[in-house]
Amino acid sequence: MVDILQGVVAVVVLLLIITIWGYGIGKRCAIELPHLPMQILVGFFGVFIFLELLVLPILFFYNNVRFATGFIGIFMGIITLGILLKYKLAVFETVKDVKEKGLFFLTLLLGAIMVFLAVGQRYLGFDTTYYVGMMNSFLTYNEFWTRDACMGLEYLPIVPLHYALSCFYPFFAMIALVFHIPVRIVAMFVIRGLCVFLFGMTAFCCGYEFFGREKKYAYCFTLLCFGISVFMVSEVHGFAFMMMVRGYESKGYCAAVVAPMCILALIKIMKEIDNQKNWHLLAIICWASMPVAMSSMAVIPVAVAVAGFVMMIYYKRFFYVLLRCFYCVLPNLLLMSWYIIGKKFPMSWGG
Amino acid sequence: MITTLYITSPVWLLLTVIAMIYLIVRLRKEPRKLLLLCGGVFAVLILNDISYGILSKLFDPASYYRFLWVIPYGMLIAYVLLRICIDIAQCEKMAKGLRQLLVLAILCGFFGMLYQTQDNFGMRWYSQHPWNEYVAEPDVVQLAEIMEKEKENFPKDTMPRLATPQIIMLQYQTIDGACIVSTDRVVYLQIRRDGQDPGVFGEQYYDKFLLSQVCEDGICPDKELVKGALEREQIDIMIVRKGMEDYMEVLGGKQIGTTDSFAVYRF
Repeated sequence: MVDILQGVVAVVVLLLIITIWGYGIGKRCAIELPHLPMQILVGFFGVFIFLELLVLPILFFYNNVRFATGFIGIFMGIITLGILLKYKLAVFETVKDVKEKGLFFLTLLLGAIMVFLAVGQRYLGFDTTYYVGMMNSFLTYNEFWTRDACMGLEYLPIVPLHYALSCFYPFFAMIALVFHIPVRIVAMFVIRGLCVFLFGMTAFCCGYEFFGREKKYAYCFTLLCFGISVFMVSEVHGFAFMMMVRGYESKGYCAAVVAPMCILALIKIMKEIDNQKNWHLLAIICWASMPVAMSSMAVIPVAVAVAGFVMMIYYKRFFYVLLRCFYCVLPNLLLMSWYIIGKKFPMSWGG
Repeated sequence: MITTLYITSPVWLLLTVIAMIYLIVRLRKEPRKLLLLCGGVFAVLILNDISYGILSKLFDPASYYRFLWVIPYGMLIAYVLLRICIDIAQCEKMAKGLRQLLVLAILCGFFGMLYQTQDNFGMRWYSQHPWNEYVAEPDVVQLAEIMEKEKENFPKDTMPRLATPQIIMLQYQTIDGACIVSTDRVVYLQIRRDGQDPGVFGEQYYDKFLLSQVCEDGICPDKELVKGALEREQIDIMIVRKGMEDYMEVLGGKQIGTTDSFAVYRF
């Protein structure tokens, strides 16, 4: 029980950090932050871009989990403090705007029930043993990805690029280390709970945009999304199953947060193609997509390519759209190239 | 076929199609064109069997379903449902009470239909929730306690090597990273479930497979064969079903504890 309470503390601290980062990134990168959920999501994406920039070099040059945790912790602390000093309490100005009569509390209640249902789901799949086992091995051996949970945690001489190019599992293993929580508890409670929470934020953002920027409809939309998700047990490939049951995997985040947010950003761009803030939002989502989940490697570029192609034809602005779409998916393309080359020429640890 | 792979419940497909039709009819001309174009391009590029055939050669076919995540059909259905409710609520031709009643009836009807036709996560939680904080099988938690004591007998920084049944293999390393499970995921997934030859994964997998037969199936192969496998795989701990005491004694194992369903032996 103490472990679960520590998990709750970890989630609260994490949410506080990403809320602060969301404000800083929104201001710095000129992304519109009309409400708290958007601020939280922007912060979430920003944190993962930052983590990817630090975790990848550490992984390949000095693969040490405790060093990475300390280094990243200090950097995150400095940046968080910097944002707080620069913007002071303005970072929390969106918090007071979330109330909307009873709907806020109703959504909060249903959201809490969803989190409760999600963390109580049992899934004994072969993937569970792999992902959670890998995170366990990070902490046991103090090295990222040098053990293979498919092979019972035997030494793995080759860098598993199909997972190692994302910082999702290293990040949550570091959370387990910092807060002294068993990895399985982090996976089953913290990661899954956070996934459902962020899905709620995503649904709110979508509802807000789709229903004339009215908060009451955004709350209604979130409630309906939660309600519908509860009944999607049979859709084992769908977003709800990924979020509720396999939410401890990065897939859950890709299906329930990254992909819908990418679609929202593309719809916003289609509505106002000249609004650069929408392009910035798309860029931050795309750049964070692979750090959050390797599943996004092809999924997000395909979504951007389809929408980009349609916009090129429809608006007849070939280079304008092409350049921006290319800029958005560039990190995915680079990491995908790395992954494909790595498949042909496997990299062993130490060169 | 892509359709047979990913459509599990026709209810969701039907609701998605209805929502799409509603949206196409309801939208203004410009967004409608954009929506149809996007849908068309996506269908040509991804949602067809020819693309599936080509792309599944480049990527893992088991991962193809991820492309479907860019169609947030749950949100689409929620959008149309809310839009209908808003339209009714704002219809001034009807009395306010009637409008409220109609919205309530639509929502109750919709969720009632889902309740009748679909399983829900609440039922899944109620029927399957294991009542411990690790959300793990009690056997696995009990094994962790036995292992914690037994590890004191191992030299420092030495990882015990385990041969285990599938249920333990699936969960134990999610609780304890400081061990090596010899009868690994490859044995239970690729070899036993998918029926691949152990030799495909290396000579050592014949031994691992043999050990899995003892642990999982409770069969007792020739003791010399198993002893050889135990030696080559350097097994320290073996977890088998209860009731194999005589056979395990012949193999040279010493019982160090039991869980609800299994007995734990030290070699």
